[in-house]
Amino acid sequence: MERLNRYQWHILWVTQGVIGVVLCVQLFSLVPLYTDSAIRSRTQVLLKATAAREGWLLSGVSIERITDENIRVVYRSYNRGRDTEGCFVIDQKSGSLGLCNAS
Amino acid sequence: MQRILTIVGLQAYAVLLALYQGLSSVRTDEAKYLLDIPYPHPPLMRSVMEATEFLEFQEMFWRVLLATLLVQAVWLLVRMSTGFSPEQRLTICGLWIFSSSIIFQSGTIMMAPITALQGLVFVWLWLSTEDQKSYAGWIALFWLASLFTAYQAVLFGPLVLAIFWRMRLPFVQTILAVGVPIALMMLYIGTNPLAAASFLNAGGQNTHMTMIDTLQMVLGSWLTSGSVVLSIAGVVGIVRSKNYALLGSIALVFLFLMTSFRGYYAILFLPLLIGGVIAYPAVLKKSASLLALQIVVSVWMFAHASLAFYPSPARTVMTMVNQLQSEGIVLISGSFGHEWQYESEGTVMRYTPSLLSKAKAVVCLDACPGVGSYGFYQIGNTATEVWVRRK
Repeated sequence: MERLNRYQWHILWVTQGVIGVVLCVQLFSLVPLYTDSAIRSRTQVLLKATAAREGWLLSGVSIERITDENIRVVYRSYNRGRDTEGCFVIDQKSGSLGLCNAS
Repeated sequence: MQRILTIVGLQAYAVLLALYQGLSSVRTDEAKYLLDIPYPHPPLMRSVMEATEFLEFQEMFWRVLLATLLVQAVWLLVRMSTGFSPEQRLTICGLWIFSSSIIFQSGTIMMAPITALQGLVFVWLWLSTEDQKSYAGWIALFWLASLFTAYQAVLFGPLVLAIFWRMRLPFVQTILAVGVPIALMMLYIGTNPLAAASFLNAGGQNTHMTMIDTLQMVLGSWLTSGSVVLSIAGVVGIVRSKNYALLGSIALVFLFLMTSFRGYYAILFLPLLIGGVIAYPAVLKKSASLLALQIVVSVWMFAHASLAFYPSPARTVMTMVNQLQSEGIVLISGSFGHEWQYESEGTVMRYTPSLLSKAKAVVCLDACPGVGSYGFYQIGNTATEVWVRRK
């Protein structure tokens, strides 16, 4: 415990650093969502339309990346037991849905 | 022997509180945490909860664990009140365990009770006279963990800042220890648009109410939090002790509730109120009467609480649906909470006629156009409209 105490600040800095880097990388792929109001509102409309069409619950959708061409999302169906999960790409222009592997 | 008996007695009380909450089914927010649905709170605690999903009794496990932590927290109060008379120490512990926040919230699987416990640890650290410099790094790590459990931990920021300020660490180190965790929390909100949206939504949910109505609700929440007696004694203690860190935190809790009121945030007052009593022990002058009054008020509140001891429609319907032999998803039409997902062993999706071919059951909380003509039959004698696939 004494030895661990000696490194408490190191543990804190490393933990904060790792969390910071991971979050910055994630945020970088979502930058258009915050910088471009047109993309933001189009994303909102596309996500709601896709969720309604596919029967998705919005709480299960997480946005992975946004570009001018498409939105990459992961849909996870949360329930007791094994959750099903899939990666999808929504075309920004047509609104069509495809699998990540297919693109 | 006396200590063991006290521990066992407190544990029995905690289990009873957990069982009391377990008599009604899982609520939508509880289901959200148990399933680790990623909003609005950061992932630390909810991912730990999800890791126990394999347990058949996951729900009751967390109810008992959280109730235990909140009730057995009296041992921390015993430590905080070192130097007080035995009667005063007993009163402090009694004020805690007989406050209505503990009675009504300790068996709930919510983030607010966990944040309240974390708040109590910060209050303890702040009121403690021990030198904390030798474990300041751990305190900063605990602060980071608290913020990544629930955003509301930020309400205890004045206490954390005061704790670090008192240590006289280098200025940059203090800022990095207190400020960086807050910056990381903000960064997390940015990476989770759903969390950001629900955060903004929660911030504006009281805007349709008049100032007087909001104030009434917040004051009601504060009064019920400490069963009136601790609520008043605690605030008097905070004000009379001129403890600015406690004052800053309780002001933040009041302001937070003014903008984002939820009944379950009442427990956030509790650690600060008990801190006020400990910071200004003169409020315990008639400690026995105070405790007696606290017990009477709490029992009165319990007697007047609405008690729902029946399974939710989600549990009733999903127990039936889970027993179906056929494979497929469950479709639900209309507005529904996460408890429907929690009670289901299979995938739950929103009703849309194009998914009927994949479904084994359809729950119609709202209209289900087309379900009758697609090889489904309706189960009779159920309060909720449920259709299952013909074999």
